[in-house]
Amino acid sequence: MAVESGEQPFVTWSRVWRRFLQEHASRISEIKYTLFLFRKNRLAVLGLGLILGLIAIALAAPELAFQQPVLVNISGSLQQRWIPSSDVLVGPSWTHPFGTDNFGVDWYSKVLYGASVSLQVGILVVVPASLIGTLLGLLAGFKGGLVEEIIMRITDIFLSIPSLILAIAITAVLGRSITHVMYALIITWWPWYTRLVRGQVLSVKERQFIESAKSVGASPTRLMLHHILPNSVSPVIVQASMDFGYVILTAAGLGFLGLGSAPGTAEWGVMISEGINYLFVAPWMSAFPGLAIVIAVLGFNLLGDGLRDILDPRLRR
Amino acid sequence: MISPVVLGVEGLRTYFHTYEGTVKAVEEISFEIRSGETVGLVGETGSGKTVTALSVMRLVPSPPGKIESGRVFLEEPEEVQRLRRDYDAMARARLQQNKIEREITSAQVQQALQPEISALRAKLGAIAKGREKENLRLQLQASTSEFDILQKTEEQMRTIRGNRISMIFQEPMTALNPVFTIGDQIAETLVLHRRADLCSEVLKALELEVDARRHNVHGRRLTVKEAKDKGLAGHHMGDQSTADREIRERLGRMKDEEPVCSACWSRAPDLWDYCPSCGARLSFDLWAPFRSWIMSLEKKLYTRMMADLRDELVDFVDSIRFLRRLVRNRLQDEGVRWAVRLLEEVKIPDPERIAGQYPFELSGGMRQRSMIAMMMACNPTLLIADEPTTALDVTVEAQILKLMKELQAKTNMAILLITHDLGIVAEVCDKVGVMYAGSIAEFGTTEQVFHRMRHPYTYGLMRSIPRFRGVASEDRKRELYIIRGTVPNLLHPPTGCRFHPRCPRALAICKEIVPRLEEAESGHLVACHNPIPLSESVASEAGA
Amino acid sequence: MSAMKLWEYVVRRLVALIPVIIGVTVIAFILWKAIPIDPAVAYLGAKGAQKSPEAIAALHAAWHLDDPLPAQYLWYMGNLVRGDLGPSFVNKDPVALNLARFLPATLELTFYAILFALPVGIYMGILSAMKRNSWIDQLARVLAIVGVAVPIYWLGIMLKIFFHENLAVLGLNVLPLDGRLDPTLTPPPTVTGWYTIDSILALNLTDFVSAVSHLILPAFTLGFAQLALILRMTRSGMLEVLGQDYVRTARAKGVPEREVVFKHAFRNAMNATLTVSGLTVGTALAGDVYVESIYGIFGIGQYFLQAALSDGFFDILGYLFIVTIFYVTANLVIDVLYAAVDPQVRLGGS
Repeated sequence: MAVESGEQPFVTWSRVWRRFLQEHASRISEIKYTLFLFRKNRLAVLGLGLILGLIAIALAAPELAFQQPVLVNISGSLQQRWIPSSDVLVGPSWTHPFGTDNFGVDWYSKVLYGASVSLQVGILVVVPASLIGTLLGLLAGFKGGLVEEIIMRITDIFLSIPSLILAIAITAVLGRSITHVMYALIITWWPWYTRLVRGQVLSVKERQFIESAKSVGASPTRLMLHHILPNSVSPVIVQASMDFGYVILTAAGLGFLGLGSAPGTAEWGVMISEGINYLFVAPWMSAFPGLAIVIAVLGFNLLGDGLRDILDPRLRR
Repeated sequence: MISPVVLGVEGLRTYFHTYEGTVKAVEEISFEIRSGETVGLVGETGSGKTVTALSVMRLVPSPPGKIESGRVFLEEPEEVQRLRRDYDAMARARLQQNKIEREITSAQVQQALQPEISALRAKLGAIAKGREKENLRLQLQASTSEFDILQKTEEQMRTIRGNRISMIFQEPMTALNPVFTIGDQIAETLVLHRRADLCSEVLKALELEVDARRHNVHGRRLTVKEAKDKGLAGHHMGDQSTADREIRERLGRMKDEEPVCSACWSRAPDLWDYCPSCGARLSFDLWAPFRSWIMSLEKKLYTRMMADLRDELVDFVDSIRFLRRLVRNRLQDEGVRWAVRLLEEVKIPDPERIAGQYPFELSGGMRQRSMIAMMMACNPTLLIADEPTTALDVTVEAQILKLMKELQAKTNMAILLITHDLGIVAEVCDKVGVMYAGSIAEFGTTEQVFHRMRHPYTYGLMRSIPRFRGVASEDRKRELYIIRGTVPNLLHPPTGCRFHPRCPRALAICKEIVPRLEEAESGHLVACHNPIPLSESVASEAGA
Repeated sequence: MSAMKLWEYVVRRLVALIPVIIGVTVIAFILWKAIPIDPAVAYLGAKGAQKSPEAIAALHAAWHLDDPLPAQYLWYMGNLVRGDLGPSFVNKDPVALNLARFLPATLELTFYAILFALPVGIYMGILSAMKRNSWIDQLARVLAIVGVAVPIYWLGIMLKIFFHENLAVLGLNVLPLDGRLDPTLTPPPTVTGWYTIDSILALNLTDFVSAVSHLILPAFTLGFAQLALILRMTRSGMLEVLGQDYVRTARAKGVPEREVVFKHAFRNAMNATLTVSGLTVGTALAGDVYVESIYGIFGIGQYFLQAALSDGFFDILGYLFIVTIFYVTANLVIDVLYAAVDPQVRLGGS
């Protein structure tokens, strides 16, 4: 594909683009078909909508909120401080849609800012955990033998402790902070992916196209990365999208117990626990952050369910 | 002697109401099967054969599917059939006045004949005497379409399924429940439909046991090897009595692991708590001190159950969950015994062992035989076989078909064989119906349809079979015949004759009017406006 | 039924458990060693530590804190096997004693929660698969999706509010919100530690009624999330099974519909239900922590929380150990049930 002298650059680029489309034509039509199925599944679309809304809120929090926090440096770390006002323990109203807390801070603003914390936690936990877990699962399933034994034994050990309890223990040990919560959750979550992926790999290994690839002389690495991985990955995607919600739930739970962000931070779990002292006087303090959690988890669940239906090979075509 | 009609299907229509529209899967099917006959139903995938079978069994999945109209008569006596046809004509005339033409259900017929029916009922109530009463009864049955199973309740259907009409399915791999043993699954059919017979079996077994107890016969279950090792069963050195020698010989012929009863030295499979030959109780008896008392109660219970399934004692036992379970288990046990005999009949080797195994431990052929045993357990008058051999090897296929024919000879049952394999039809079927897109295109004896086919579709089917025509190169070069076009979408079937878009003999009328089944020769029906002339079809067969 | 093979299976699973349990103790040990604070200092409290260095040294010696790591591990394991879980940092009693003291409350709560969640979840799951698109199916589907999204801690709080505020208006604030027993009553003499059982044994009806009414909200809160999960798995398992050929065969045999569903279909779908039941025990044990702290029940969940917040090392380790034993035992039972239900598992399948 020679560049003829004197022609405009963008013609060359469009050529490149067209060539790219040609080469990956089947992949692209596959993707198009997936999107089509997705649009047909109303619940999945709803889920996606909720999540996009959540992301939008998290990103636009400073604009949407009525009150902004101040960042204060305390012994090396930045913490949020919210400025108290005189509207103490006011119920939901036009100026304070979610009411105020015992310091008079606008709860609605705090909930909005909490969204960004939760989303960050979600990403920073699910992505590493799924990557680590998937990698280990691939290795275990593919290599077999001693490698598989060791990996699966370790996985079993981690999975015999209920996840939340392990997370609490780890956070307690490391010290209270949202970063430690994230570490704890990554450690707690990766084994599920390993188990899942290994199972997938084992069953994919048996399928016929692997044999045909081998008979054409594919190397183990190519087999693993190019053939097995793409076919094992769909349950991981489904699981990861649902886990996003569960991670948010659990992280908030740890915050609730006092093991996460510092008190006063806009984090949904912490906010719910702050509401306990004023439970019957100002129920909105605990109610709204919890509602936000429900909506977030719901969104990810619906998305995950929808993805599961879409990616199920039996239902396609 | 013409054999009686076992199944009479008239105007059956089954539609599926899906989101995309209404799939007209079966459109006005009518045919008859007589006892002892094997009728084949052939057609391509999607022609409606399976849906027809499911409609007869009333197993069509009911949210999307619905039997819209038609009647299916099961074992309608000839006299009733004659009377009914007259009544039908009367009803039809009346319905036509109200513009109802094609949607004939028995309910509508009954409605139309309401005055006659009430009159008959009244007279029946009044008259108590023999011949007239009999006649009236027949008339009543005819006018109410008594034998139409499409109008029976679900309860009534449940006594028919597995009992008078049985169905075996295509995939023996998946058609058997993986968590129950073969023996248990067969026994289930018996417990459902042959309870009285099972009761008599239970009573016989009880007698044996009572006898054993009275004569203080006790035994344990040993393997043949154990018996030999322990020097029992006539294996003592120096034991030369004839009885002992016989026992020793018998044991010698058995395999080492086989279980035997130590009281009578005959086979005692693990399936039962007691020895089938001498009645000795062989497994641990939890209720030992109460056993005699329990047995006498059981005798009473099962005798009464045998006489009347709705006896008060029976109902009482049924109401206490624990007792009901015990009774069930007892009956199930006897059912398994019976099942072993059935497995023998379908030529399964070592039936006692197989009865205790699970489906996944058996091969495809054995599974299909077990299915047959299960569905034949109650000696149905009609066996519907939906592609029973499609999933099996050819040699196994031959065995299964042979087995089915043998069983048919023994019990004189009718078989409705659904298949797409014309070879099987030629071998096994007496009559054959060719289905296309939900309707019957042609129906007749195998000879008629194969050698003197009239419908263009049948012709196409026969021609499409690849045949070895000879080594000569001109023969080899002849192209395979195909019917052009594809099977129609049943959401929007073609108007008129559904085959017309693909038919080489289509006329203008074929697009407008649906052809009805008409007799071309005695017993040979064709649904076509432009059937193949006799000369051509015979010629094609000879020359092809 | 081959009882022999089942027995073999159980033994095999038990043997496989041993390395797992050892592994858990290793993890617990790693956690212990990862704590940045000196355990002796934590035990004595900041002030106490400052006052007497000899006490610190004494503890270091007693707890082998300066020995090489493997020796420390062995010391701890040695004690563990003998039942000595170390002194509690929370209240200075032995950890083992604390656990024994607080365990019954948790067991009672968890038991009733699962007693509620399991049958209701299974039954609803089966019914909803049986009657597609009926009201029960709609309800089940909503519950299945929303139920898992509701945080336990939030649900508990909302229930407290609801049963306090609103129903007070209706005059119906019937259900007690805290603790295990009406504060005016005395608990029955301890036989099992379960107020519901002990009060019956002591023939104390008022205690019994009070104990039950105090259990209603906590057990419901704990059970709710489990219910949603069980319902979901049972329903999807049943839907898959009901489409199978052998269900059609059963109908073709003339088996009554109810039997088709509960006998033929459910036995095959039980696999999914069993799996999720195993998980349920784990999530219930975890949820205990929340529920106990919200409803003021002094079980091991609360104990663990306090230990975690006050760096009680031995307490945390002891708790981890106990909880793991329970969880692992429950899963073992589930595995045995798998084998009992599915002959392919038992006999080494196709």
